[in-house]
Amino acid sequence: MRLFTDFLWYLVKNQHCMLFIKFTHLSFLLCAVQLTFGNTERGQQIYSQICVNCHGPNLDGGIGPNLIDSYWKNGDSFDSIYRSIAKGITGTEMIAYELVYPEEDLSSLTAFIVDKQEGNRETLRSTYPRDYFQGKRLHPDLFDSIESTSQKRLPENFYYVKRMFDGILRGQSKLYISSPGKYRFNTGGPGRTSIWVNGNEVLYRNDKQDKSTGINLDFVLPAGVHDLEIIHEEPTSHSMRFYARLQKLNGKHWMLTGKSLEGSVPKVIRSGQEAKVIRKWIDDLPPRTLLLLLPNKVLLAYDSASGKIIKGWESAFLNQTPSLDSRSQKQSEIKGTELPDVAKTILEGKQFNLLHYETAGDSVKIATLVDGKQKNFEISPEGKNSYKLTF
Amino acid sequence: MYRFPLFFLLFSFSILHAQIPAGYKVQSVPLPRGSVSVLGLCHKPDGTLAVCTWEGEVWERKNEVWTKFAENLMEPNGIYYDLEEDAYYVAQKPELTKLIDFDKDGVCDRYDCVTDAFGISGEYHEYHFGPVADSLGRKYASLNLGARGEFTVPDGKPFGKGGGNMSYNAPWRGWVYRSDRKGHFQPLASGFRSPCGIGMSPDDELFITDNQGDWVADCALYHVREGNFYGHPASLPARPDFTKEKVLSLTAQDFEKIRTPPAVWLVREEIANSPGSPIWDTTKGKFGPFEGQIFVGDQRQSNYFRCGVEKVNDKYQGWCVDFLRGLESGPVKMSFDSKGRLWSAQVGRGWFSKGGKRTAIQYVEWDKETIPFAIKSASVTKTGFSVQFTQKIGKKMTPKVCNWKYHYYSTYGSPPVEQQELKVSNYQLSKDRKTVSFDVPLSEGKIYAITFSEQKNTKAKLLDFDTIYYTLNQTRPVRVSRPGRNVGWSLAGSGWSRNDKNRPLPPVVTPLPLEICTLPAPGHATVLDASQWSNPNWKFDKNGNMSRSKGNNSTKKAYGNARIHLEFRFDLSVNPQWKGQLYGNSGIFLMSGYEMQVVNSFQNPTFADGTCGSIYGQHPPRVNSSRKPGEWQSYDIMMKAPVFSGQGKVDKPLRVTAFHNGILIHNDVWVYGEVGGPYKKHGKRPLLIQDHKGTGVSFRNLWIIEDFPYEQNLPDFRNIFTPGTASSI
Repeated sequence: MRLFTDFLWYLVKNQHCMLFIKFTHLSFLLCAVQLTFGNTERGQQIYSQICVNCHGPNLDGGIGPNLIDSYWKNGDSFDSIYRSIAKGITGTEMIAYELVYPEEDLSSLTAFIVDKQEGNRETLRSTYPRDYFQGKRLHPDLFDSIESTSQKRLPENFYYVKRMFDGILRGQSKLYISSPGKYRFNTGGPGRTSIWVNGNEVLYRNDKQDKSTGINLDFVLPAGVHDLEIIHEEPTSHSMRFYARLQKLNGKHWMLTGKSLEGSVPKVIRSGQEAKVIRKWIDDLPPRTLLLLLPNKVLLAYDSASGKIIKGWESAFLNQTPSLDSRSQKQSEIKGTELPDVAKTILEGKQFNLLHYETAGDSVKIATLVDGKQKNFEISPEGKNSYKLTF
Repeated sequence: MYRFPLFFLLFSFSILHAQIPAGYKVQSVPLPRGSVSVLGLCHKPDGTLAVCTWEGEVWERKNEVWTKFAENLMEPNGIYYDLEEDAYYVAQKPELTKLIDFDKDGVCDRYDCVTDAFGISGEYHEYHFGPVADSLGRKYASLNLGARGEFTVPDGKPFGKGGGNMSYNAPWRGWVYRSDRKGHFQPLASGFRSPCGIGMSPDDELFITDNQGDWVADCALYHVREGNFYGHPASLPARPDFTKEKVLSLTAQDFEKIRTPPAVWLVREEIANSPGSPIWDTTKGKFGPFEGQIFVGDQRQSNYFRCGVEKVNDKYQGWCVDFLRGLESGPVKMSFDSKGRLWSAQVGRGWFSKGGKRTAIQYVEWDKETIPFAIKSASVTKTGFSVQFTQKIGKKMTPKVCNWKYHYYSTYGSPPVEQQELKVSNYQLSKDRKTVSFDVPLSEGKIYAITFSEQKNTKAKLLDFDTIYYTLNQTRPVRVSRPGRNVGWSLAGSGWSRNDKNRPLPPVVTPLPLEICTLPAPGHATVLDASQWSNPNWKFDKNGNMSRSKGNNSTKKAYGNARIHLEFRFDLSVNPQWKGQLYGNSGIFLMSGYEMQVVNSFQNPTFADGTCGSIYGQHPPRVNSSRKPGEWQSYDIMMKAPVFSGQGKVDKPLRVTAFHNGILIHNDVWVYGEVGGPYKKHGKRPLLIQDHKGTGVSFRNLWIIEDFPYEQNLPDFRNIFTPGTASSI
């Protein structure tokens, strides 16, 4: 019986939560075409003095997390970001800045960060029992008369469900648009889907019905923040087969579905004061590649099985995040500008056996058995976008 | 109303699955920062716990504080601490790596590639699991097949409809290998699919667990014996006696003939779906009444289960029984600490684990007092089974026994086949009330589920886990065969005993032509002509041929590291009595003590480690490249003398690389001891040719290069018969 009362309380709490969401929903509609959340000048000033040290000049992270990607572990609404700055994050280097700056400075800083956002944000996933929706056309109004089975803010800012999910997926989020123009949704997979932007249905599809009964509209989005609602149902399977992306005509696109990071946070490997040797699975690079990341942000792909540098990048870092989702079946990726004419044979020979590698300050030392004879070489940074090879 | 039953169902599930035996408790340990998937763990004797993560990091935990030891590795799937070298070994996806901390500041300074001699195509599923080590410090690891690729073995069935999916994309995938030292790679056994679990018993016996799938009927625990094939045919192209074409021309019936079945089937859902590494309870009772038993965890079931094996007809078979359920995630690797607590690295990652968490580190501790009521073990008798309990049982209740077998085919997993309930008779209880025995019809190749659902102890308590599963590969023989002669060393990690008749014979290959193998003595070699030998009975004829004669024949001079060439010929014999070890037997005794066998092995089978070219009693040649009797044959040998410590203990065993008729038969093998006994300290000793009963043997063109540096010549020596490689040795 105790369990039952607990469960009722759980329902009540969710109801409460729903009301809260409705409220914020309205308030954001009011500023749907307004991108700037207040004066950002002071915020920019504080950012370039303090925040830049950990989050990088382009807000794309460093010691601290990236502030312009989709992943927001501690929430990405104005209030959440404000709270993270004001109260700090326990267990990290992020201190409570309310002890340092007055409220208006923190607001300006928050506005500065929110201003830089683009794509799907403040993503709320709710799930509903399937049977209530049987025989009814998917429509947001249906949710007024049925309680959800779960609600969760998704830090990844795209939609996914548990394996063998059996129910209706409802996603509510904000679209941050900085580039105004014509947009369209691309969707696929089995089942039926309804997508609403700012209260208008822009896509409806049902794979059981004649395609002509569906709609898929191009629509114009001004710069600003818009409401997005996605409703989707499909037959239960091992993992959801639905995919959706928002496409700017002749422009960028954003995925609205994906695989969960299952609680992990994005991981990026950046250059530091010491050189690094990184072993990761990267598309198009042989598995025995050593990635040499030098302090000048030059990244060299040295194939230990052929004695050759096969590729190189400047202003480079390695993004391990794509590989962190559920089964980790995706490769990590190298970000940076590919260097031209960097391919080079370092060791001449037929048979290469890697012996060992180590870092020594800003350099990497590699020892290899080439046709039975040991060969050593060292790679050090040189200038802004080059390296020095020493035998 | 839909969600109410679901809610309660989930809740009751979690109660059902937390089944912890009395006297045991489970503790969770906070994870190091950023650890999403803990794949391996091990302990140092000082109590330090080390873990490796899929994200590529190694962390150490001392006094409950985590520090990062190494980072930026590629999916290290297991970690081992080598006490002698004070270094960690990790199985990175593309290589086995040693992590050395020279200045002892707790951070890895150098990454040594121990071996990367196995292939990797880059396909995601090509995992590398391990390592574990034997008592000689040699490392063992296993290599997953690919899941996408061109070479699958469908056995006539369409892809996606039972036609096999795991593929062979690169050399040695689906194998288990050993690495004796940096740069050494010795493939041991084939036929594995996804050999996620690897463990070394306290007696230096290697065991592997594999995951059910195509060609693997169910999850299983295998005893690994060097040279054996364990069932997944996609791994066979790496064997010298197979090609891809040959593998595709064969059927399940053909593979069945050469396959070694598992020692224990780990019954699906009941016991395991994705078993991890086996570990032996060597805690001397600190972990409860299961001393010597094998503990394994399962990624899907989030449980620990126990196994035991016994030798019947010289082959292992045995049982499994569930032990504990309700872990947070799926255990894959385990380690006992010095307090006798059983730790596990757990991961659910994408594959569903009942525990629900993506990853966890937990340990299980015994209170050193409470004996839980459990099925302890089982053993096959000549007419049925005996089953042991941890406590006295109350009123004896006859168990329910059923058995079944599995298909061996390219389809994913097998349902139970020919499942039937069996009549139990002659049910007996021992005087101490802890062992029951009974008769049931015994049929080989079947799994027996023995269920004591109503059996209580003397305090009327039921069992936590009431079923023990016994894999009956063989029934007890009427007569027990004698084990091979023990001469004071063991074939650590190979799974065989000396002169083991069950050991597979080396595959027969075609030798290189004689003219290629007849190497003239280089200028710096000592030609071993008549003047160099000490036994006057052995005479050279006018053609320079020396016949085996009465008494062994030693060189007058003593040698250490050396490069040796010699040619030999067996007299043709038509007498059928002269067969096996009596058809032309002699031996090349390196340093007078370590024998490379000389015997006719052309269509004249004998035990594997007595084949021509074997290091007698230890290593069969990789292949049998014998010529016919009457034709000249050649050995090209390079050897590194053993190094002894001041106390006379062998520090570095003898190493041998050798060719028989131009074909590599030993690739830098480690010799375990002298042919007749363990290592005894010695310096340089003469080369000796053995006298042995048997048909005649002649020798010619014998030469030796003394003090030949082994290590630096090894790469060249391996290529002396490779076309296009000009070699001075």
